[in-house]
Amino acid sequence: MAVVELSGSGVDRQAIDPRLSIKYERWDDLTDEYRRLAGRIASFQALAEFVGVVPFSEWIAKVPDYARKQMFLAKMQDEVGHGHVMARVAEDLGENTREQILWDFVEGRTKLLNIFHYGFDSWEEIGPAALMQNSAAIVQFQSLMGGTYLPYVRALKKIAVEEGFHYHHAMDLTHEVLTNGTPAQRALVQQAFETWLVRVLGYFGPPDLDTVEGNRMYQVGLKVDANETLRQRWLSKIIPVFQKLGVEVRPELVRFDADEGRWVYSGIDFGELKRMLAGGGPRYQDWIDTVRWSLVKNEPYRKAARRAAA
Amino acid sequence: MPARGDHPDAYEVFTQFGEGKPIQYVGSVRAVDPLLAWHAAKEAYTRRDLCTLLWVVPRDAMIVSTPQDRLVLASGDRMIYRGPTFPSAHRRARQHGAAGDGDA
Repeated sequence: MAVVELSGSGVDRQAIDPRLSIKYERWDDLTDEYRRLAGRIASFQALAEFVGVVPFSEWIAKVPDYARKQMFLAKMQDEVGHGHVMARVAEDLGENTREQILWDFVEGRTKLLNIFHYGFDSWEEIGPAALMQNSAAIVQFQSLMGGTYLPYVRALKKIAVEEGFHYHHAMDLTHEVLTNGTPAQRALVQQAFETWLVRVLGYFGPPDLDTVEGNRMYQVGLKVDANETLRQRWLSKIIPVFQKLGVEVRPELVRFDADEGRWVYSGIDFGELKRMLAGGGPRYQDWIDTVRWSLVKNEPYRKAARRAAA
Repeated sequence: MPARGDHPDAYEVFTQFGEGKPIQYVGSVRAVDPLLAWHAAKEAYTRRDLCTLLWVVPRDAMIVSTPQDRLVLASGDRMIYRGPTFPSAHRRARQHGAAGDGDA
C-alpha cells in the first residue's frame, strides 16, 4: 500500500518535477493535443461553476435572515463570475463559447461531476454540504495551480480567493445551526455530514495511484496530483474541522490509520457512482431544465445587445 | 498572433488594488461594446478588496510581444554591463590591483 503524502501543498514536489517545470501561455506554440486537453479542463470547470449555482439558487427565497441572504447571493454571484472567467480560458483555446458549453450540457453532450447531481432537502443540510464542497474545491484548485497552463492557473488563483469566502460562510452557517438549532436541526447537520462525506469522497474520482502516470492530463501537467492524493489531503483538512464543530465522525465511515499513514474510508462504490453519472442523479434533469429556461429567457437580451452594437 | 480561438469581442482586463500598487493583467471578458466590457470586468474581477483602477482594452488594439521576441526582451542576460553589479565588480577588481578587463 502506497503511503500518501498528507501535508504540504505539493509545492516542493513541483519544484523537482520536470513534468511541471515548463509553463505555457495562450500564445505559445501549443500542440493540438495540449490545446484540446487544456480547453477541456477549462470548459468542464466553467460548466461546473455555472450549474453549481442552481442547487443553491432555489433556496434564495427561503434564506431565513437578511445578512445570510446577502452572503448567500454573493456566493452565487461569485460562482457565475468563476464560470465566465473559466469560459474565457476555454474560448481562447478554440473550445466552445460559454453559450455552447451550456447548450452542450442542456442537450446531453457533456456530464457533470457527481456532487452537482443533487439538491438540498433542508436548509440545515446546506452548511455542511457547502463546507465540504468548498474545502474540496480549495484542495483541488491549490493542486491545479501548480499546473502548466498559465491562463488557467491565473483563473484558478482568482477563483480560490473567493472560495475562501464561501468556505468561511459555510462554516458560519453550520456553526449557527449547531449552536442555535433545535436537536432536530442538529441531527440534520449530522445526517448531512454523513451523506455529503460519501459524495465528496467520490468527487475526487476513482483511486488512481497505480495508474495516474499513464493519464495524459497528468503527463502534460494539467492534472497535478493523483485523485487519491487529493482525497487524502482533503480528509486531513476537513475531518478535524467537523470534529471541532461538534459533528460526530464515526470511525466506520472514516478514520485515520496510523500504521498505514492514511485515511481509510467506506461507503463509496465507484461502479455505482459511474452508473449514477450516466443516468443522472436525483436532480439532474431539474438543473438541465433550469439552465435551458435561463438560456431561452435571456436570448432576447443577448440579441438586443448584439443589435445595439452592430 | 493572433492565436487560434481569438474572438474579435475580447477585451483584456487590468486592475489595481490599492493606490500606488502596480496595475496588473487579470484576464479577459467578451462583450458587444467597450462600456459593457468594462461592466462585465467589474462584475467578474473586482468582487473583493479595494479595487482602485479598472481598465479594459480591446485585445485587437494591443501591440504585444511574441515568443520570438523573448531574446530581444531579455536584456538582463545579454547586457550584463547594464546591471549594478557589473561596475561594482569592475571597481573591486581595480582595488585588488588585478590586471585585465575587470569583470568577475
